[in-house]
Amino acid sequence: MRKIHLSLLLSIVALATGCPKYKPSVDFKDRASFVNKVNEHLKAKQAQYISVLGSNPAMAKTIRNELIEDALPYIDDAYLDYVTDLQAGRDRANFVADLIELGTTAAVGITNGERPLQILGVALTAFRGGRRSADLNFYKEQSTPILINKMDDNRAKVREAILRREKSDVDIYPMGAAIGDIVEYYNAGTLVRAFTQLSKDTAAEAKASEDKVRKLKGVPITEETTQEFRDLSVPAGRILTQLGLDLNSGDQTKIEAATKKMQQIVAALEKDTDAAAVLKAADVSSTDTDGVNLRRGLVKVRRSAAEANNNDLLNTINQAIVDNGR
Amino acid sequence: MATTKTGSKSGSKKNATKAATKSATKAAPKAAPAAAENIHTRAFTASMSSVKALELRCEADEANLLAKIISMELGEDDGQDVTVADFEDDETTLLGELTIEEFKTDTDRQSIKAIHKTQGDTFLFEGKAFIKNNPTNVLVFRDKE
Repeated sequence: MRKIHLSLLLSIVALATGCPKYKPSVDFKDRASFVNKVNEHLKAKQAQYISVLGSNPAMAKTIRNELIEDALPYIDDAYLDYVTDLQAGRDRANFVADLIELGTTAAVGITNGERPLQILGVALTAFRGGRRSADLNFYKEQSTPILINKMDDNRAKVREAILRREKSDVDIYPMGAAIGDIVEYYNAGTLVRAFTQLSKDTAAEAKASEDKVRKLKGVPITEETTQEFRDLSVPAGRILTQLGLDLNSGDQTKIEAATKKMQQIVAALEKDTDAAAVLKAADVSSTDTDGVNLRRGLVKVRRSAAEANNNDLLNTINQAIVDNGR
Repeated sequence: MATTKTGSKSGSKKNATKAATKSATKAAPKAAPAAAENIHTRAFTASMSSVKALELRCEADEANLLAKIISMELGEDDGQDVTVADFEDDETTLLGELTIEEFKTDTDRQSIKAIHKTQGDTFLFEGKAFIKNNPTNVLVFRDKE
């Protein structure tokens, strides 16, 4: 019976301890390791990029994007290994000491300037960060799925930003920034960043919507405006507001004066072919003696023109308001 | 009309009443119900050349929509990067001018707010906008009249 108990105990111990010592798949002494692979890739692409940068920016953009898209799978592979081991719960005591974080600040400073290849090497030289006890305690209080979810979330945000920036030309999104983003993508998949982000999420000033992007469909995209357009729009808007206040003041003198001005504004617009057509469609006529109704119709037409970015019509309306509404 | 301003933003005297400004800023909510009928959602180009250009754009829109700006955030319009700004109808307030400031750090944010506070400007909201296609943190103020 004692032998049976002993055998059972040994079996449980063997199964519970799992695989022997977990080591991260990133080995910086191995030239075939992750970091060297990425560095070699970056060096080759950086050389191509520099060779065409001055003469062919479009090609440089393509090379930059290829560099990014070719580098990310290496990082994804390393991350997958990392998460798999974390989920398996292997060697939690050791992996904390093996955490790494790439030198983001070095990468951010990379430009098209001198010795880019050497700087690239520095940028992707990882260091083993000493873990602060606070981090370790924090880790112990978190369940692994929460941390993994946070790393996934961090990585998705960086990936989204990279995809967006890849649309930009090289003068707006140069190679240095691209490499900075690759490093950031790697760092987003580390526990260090997960700790930081979780702390930030719970901070009072952290906003849940910080990196959310609002989705619109079919809203006309509005370009910059000119000082002149603004300088006509603002006084016209204020006159229209003041007329509204007068019409609702209860003071008969003000109401009559405001109604007359509204009629004059509409009458002026009826002389303009385009404006007249719009007013007619909106059932706004200078023969109307109800000042509130006239103003309501004009405000509606003006808002529609603004939302459609019809600046010509807006200028016509605003000029009529300024000329006749004072 | 005493309350009408016709000059350019940079040189003109701001002549709407203080009461009007207070009324304009007091009720500004932090978030807008996007589908509400009194909300106008605008999509500004991501290639806006400067914060100043964004400011002009917002002032022109406030005037033409007879509405006050209540939020600004990053967005996509049919997949294209845009700055999404919401304006809420306001036909009874003579709105003052806007000032939009860029900030990068929390220290920037606090100091910019403090400077405007001493000038008597009213803080409306914090948001994000695309300037030269880059996401930019902005603070929006209503100038003291």
